[in-house]
Amino acid sequence: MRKYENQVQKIKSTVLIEVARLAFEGNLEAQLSTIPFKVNPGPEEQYRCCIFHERAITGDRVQMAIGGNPHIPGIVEVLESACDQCPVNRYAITETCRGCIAHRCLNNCPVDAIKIQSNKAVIDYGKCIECGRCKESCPYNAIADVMRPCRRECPTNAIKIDHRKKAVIDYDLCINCGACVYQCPFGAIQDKSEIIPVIESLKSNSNHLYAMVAPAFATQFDFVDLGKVISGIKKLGFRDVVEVALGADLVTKHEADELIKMKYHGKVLTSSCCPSFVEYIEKKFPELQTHISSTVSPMTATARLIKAIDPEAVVVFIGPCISKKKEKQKSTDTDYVLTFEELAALMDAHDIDLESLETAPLNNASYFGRKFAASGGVTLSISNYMAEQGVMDITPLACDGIEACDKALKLLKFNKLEADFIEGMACKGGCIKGPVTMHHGPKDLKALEAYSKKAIEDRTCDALRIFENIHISLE
Amino acid sequence: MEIKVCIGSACHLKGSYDVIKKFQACITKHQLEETIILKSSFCLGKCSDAVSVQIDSGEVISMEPDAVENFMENLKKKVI
Repeated sequence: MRKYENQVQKIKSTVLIEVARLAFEGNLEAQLSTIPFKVNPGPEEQYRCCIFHERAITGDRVQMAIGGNPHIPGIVEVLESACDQCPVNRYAITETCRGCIAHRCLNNCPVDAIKIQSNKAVIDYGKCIECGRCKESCPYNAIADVMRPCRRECPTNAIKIDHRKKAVIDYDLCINCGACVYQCPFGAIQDKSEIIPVIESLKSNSNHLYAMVAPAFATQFDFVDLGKVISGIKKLGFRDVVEVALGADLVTKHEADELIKMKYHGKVLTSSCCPSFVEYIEKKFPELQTHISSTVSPMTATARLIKAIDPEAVVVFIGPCISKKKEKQKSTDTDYVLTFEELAALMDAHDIDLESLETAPLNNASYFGRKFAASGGVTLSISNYMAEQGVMDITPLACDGIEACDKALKLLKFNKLEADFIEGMACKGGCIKGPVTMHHGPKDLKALEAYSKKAIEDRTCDALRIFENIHISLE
Repeated sequence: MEIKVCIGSACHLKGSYDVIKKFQACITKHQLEETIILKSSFCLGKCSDAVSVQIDSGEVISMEPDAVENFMENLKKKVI
């Protein structure tokens, strides 16, 4: 049985399952308004102030499950009803304050924002600059950093707080990484879903519907053999399941060739697999855009490969990533993007008992293509491919998480980077730690390694040899 | 005429690449490049047998790499 990481994930999944169930039955439009009553039957509330509030939030989640607000440009939306208006001020004096005599907090505050009233420290928020020195200096840990999780995790400072203390996303800054979606303890920030058009495609009984599974799949569905999940995906109505790691193999070859050319011209190349990393460069370092690899992402490469083989194909990417939903909007190659959470919801709504299914193989890509899902994987694959071609003098740099990416990009901006290639991954750990995976655990990396080792093709060129007569553009 | 060879995972594991290579060699050997188009395909729905092969929209047949040459000899008689 599937275990949910927490209640927030369970609530989100419950709504997705209910919406998917009605969509499969063809009753979605007629019964849409009944979902909040089914999910929150009452009469007692579970988490919020009252049952009406909970139903209103469920209603907002239903809207996200059916595609969200089309007027909002981003993939991620704040559910106003669910935002709990966390404290706006970052530092708070807690009851642990002993009213000591040293007053280190007061003495260390550079802007005189701390006063002692009735023998206890008090912060004047009109003066506080949120430097944190008071917190660092208190010997009793009596000052808490209560910065909102969404703001704390947002790498581009895209989350603002409006006059009602609700979180608001500045889409000019947002890179769709999904950190806020994963971090909000109230589940008040969510990604738009495409389960409805996918279900409609599945119901059309087309023989040309393909699922493209990202290699981070290796860490998912840990309660059942992954081969059974492949059968489950086919049972939903997909003609075939194709590894996106195969697209990663195509990308390896193309990007390696590009890297050699860039190196010849004395330029640094930055990877293009992670759409949030690409968006980060576009928004924060626009002057470095010429360094971004022109090679498409593994998702796009896989989509083009499938469509070259079956021109009538409709392709659905299934992965751990919110940003892929944005990347998809920018091109016509991939038709729909689902998350692992959404895939699980579709199977639950379809009453697919994974345990009872036969296992089916998924094995076309190379060991290296599969390793793309973890930080350092792109670098490993490209370095290995180049070494096989006899090119050894490459200095790649794998940046794990946006902070590391930012550091490398700053060095590149000032011509101080000692590398030829930057692999950028917005999620720390890589795609296996994506925001919409079903579970994040300490064994993720091991699971990916085990899955990668099961690849029948050892090298990139071994996986690609079968496609030597299929010519697709990868730019 | 179109020959489709499945390259889905199940068939790939059983030797799609070898089957394709054998077909290519036979097509060249018998100079059938103008008559036969060799294509890849995803799942043809018969995953439990050997590599799935389909001629035009005909029945899906199971093909071992070693059986390709004989098959092509027979096919050549039909084509020409």
